[in-house]
Amino acid sequence: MRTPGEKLLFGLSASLVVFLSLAPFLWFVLTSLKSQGQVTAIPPTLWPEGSLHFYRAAFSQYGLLHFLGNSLVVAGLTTIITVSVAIFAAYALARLRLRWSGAVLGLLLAVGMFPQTSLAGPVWRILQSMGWLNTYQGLVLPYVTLTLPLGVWILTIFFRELPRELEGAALIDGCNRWQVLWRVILPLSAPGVFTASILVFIYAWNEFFFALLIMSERARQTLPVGIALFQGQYTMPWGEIAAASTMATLPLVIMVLLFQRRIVSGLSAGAIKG
Amino acid sequence: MAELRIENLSKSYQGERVLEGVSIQVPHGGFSVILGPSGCGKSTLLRLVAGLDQQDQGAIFIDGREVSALPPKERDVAMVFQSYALYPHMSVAENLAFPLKMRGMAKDSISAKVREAARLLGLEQMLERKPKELSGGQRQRVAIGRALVREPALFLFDEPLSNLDAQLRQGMRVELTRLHERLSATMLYVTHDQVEAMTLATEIMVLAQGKVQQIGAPREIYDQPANLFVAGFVGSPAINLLQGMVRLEAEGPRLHCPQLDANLPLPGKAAPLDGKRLTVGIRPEHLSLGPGPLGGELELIERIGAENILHLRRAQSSLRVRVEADCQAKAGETLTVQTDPAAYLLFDEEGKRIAF
Amino acid sequence: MSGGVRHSAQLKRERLFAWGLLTPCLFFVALFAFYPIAQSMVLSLHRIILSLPQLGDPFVGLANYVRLAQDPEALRALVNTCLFVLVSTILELGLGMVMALVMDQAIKGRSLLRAALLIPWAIPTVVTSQMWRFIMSDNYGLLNLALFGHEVTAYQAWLADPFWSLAAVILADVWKTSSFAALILLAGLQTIPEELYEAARIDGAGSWRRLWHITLPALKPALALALLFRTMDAFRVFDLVFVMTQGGPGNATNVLQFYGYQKMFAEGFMGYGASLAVLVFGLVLAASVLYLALFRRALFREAA
Repeated sequence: MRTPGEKLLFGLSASLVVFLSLAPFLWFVLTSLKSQGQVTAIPPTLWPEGSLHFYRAAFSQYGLLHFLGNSLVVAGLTTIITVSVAIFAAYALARLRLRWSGAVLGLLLAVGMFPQTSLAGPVWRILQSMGWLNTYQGLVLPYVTLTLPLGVWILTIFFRELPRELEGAALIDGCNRWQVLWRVILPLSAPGVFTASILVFIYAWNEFFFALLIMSERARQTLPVGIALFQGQYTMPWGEIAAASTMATLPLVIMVLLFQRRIVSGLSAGAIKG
Repeated sequence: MAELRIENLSKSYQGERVLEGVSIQVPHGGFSVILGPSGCGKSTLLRLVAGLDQQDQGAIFIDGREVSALPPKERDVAMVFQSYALYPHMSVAENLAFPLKMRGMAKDSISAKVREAARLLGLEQMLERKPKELSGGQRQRVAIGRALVREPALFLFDEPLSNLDAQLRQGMRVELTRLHERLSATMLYVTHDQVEAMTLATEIMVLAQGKVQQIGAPREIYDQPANLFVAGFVGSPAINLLQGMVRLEAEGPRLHCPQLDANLPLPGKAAPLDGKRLTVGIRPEHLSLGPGPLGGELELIERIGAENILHLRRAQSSLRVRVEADCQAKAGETLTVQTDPAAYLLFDEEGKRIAF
Repeated sequence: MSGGVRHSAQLKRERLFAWGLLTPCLFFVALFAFYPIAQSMVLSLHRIILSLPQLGDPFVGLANYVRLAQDPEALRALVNTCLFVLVSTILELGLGMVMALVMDQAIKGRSLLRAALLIPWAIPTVVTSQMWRFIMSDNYGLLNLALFGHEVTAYQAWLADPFWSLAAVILADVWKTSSFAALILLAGLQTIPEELYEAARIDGAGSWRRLWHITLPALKPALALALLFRTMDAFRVFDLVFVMTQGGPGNATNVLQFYGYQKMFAEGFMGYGASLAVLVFGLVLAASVLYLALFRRALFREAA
């Protein structure tokens, strides 16, 4: 079947793939654990001393905690709102007889591809006129719009796979269309909702462009903005940046490790079944 | 219990005609089976009666009341699906209680009815389990139970036994018959399996390509099929069909059948059909080994336990003959076959049976 | 007669219900996506300088676009963007394909491989940018350490060089996205029934033949879709440039969205920035139309 030579080749290639995927990030994480002297050493050192100095500095001097908090609120709110709206939209598109469902889905897909610059100016003006710049809702509402295509897409595919006859049975048993959705479909939508939530959360957590634009005051800035604008007094505080970056990525890495199957199936749902 | 009346129902899907002018009637307490091959429109017909789909033309009356435009929940019907369609997130008890809950029945009455249905179907031990923990047969019974608790005017069954294995199917057939007798319920049952139809039905409606081919009691469908399709579809093993031309000879009318290289004597009443093309249908059980007008080389012996089916080949076609299990014929032998002219079914050129 | 007219009442109710369910979604999309796009086009026809509100917002027709066509920085940004799209997409899909093929063969450690590939995707782009900026750092970076060891005098200031800075941005994007492409393609690979390969092997087809005749054709839909998404995303590159190079050195890594951002917000020329935004939108639209035309069969084959 597979020659030992081939096995070795594939083993090496696979190891190479893993190494190249993880090495850069690992380097960054190692950097965050170095001492001040190690980071500014020329030539750079490889192994850290194992100091939490940068983490402490990131929290105390650079306000990492409040960036984290803002990101949590924004990403959390976005996820809740997007998924709620998406469930209803997806059910309508997947199951109800609508002549325009294909068009609506296509439209949503198109929205997902709009360049941020094309939206940014007018969105900024809308928010400014409502006094919502530098507020949580000012960022969450555009985020919901940006993540709806993703959420609706995933949930539509999910709903399409539920057995059709369940709805027929419920209709015969005396449900109106709303009750069918509420009592039968929703309780069964947990897996799809879960997948969609994870992907929406990750997107909202990582988004930078609108966060940069809408949150100009430090008080409400999210992690990506904080990390991008990290400035030291005299030099680039690489150690602190590395520490902040690790903290920003940690929740996502945990999510990925725990839910990788779901994430991959959600992402590839479009490609394979869409 | 109620009577079902369907008048002139037609339905097209995306330009294709699925049902054409279907009119049937199921009397109070009747068990009618719609029998037909896949794609004949029988499931569509059931969905229209249930209200899950809307017809293009025609009307549906349940218990004298026109329900043609009503949603399913207002038609007083219950349906058992081929895939059972049990609510996976609810226990058996909750599944059974669901339709009653939707109708706003009081809690006590609900639990009483659920217990009654569970007892009737042997589900008492499983009330707390979820559908995924049950076997196919058990799930089927829960599906039936869910239909039962509502005591609807009409029961609809969409090939409910197709997903069960052969042995279970037989047991369920008996249970369904018993249930029907016990409840005196009006039932409309859809299937492609003619054994199910023959054993369960008080009346069979054969459906093909969206049109009703014949309506009658099982015996009638079998002994007096209205056309070639019904004759060929009902009966296992399939009926033998001999095509040919009638020739009036000295001894009487004969069917000249080139495909079997046979000259088959026909009953005297066939004399007026001289010169016409005809198909003669002979069921395998009306053939036997012995001197006679038909025959062929024994190609295959199907041993099905209590009897054997012999497949005889001659010219371009083959005959199926039913014989006893201890028949000593061997493959490769050339045998002759006797016939029973009284059992012949004669069909004209268009496939319609000629009744005498 | 009965039936024909009456049944549409039920259908109508179902349709109404469906539209009702869609309304919140459509509301968001209308307000924060379609209106802004339209408004961008309107804004691009005006002259708006945020820092000088007293000048008003006069209508200037296509003046912004004329200026755009003659703007060397904009041209550079356009060239850079197209270069970025071309190179990164080809590299990502190519590498992704190779990685997917390798991973498909793996029997053990699938989860580890998957997790390893997902992490670059999951990392915020801003973090990726800072990370690569650090790796490329002239004094403290990993790249210099890896290439030149302790020969400090040989250390290059990668991000200060016009060519290498663009290469660095591309490299960072390829690192982040090829693993994502690999995941999509891997999922596609795993839908190919093993029996196809076995039948081919019995028929005497070697590894390359099997790849060419079975694997690649079966992957066409996934490839087409991955290509579409990747290209659309590549046109919108911003985060990497903002953090790694700020468009520099000079204009070497300026890209359309970054330039648009600069003009619109950093410098407050909202009208002119809007014309850039419309340009990017037009490019993305044109590219997607082109893709749909080229790959329609591949993309919609799944639906059939």
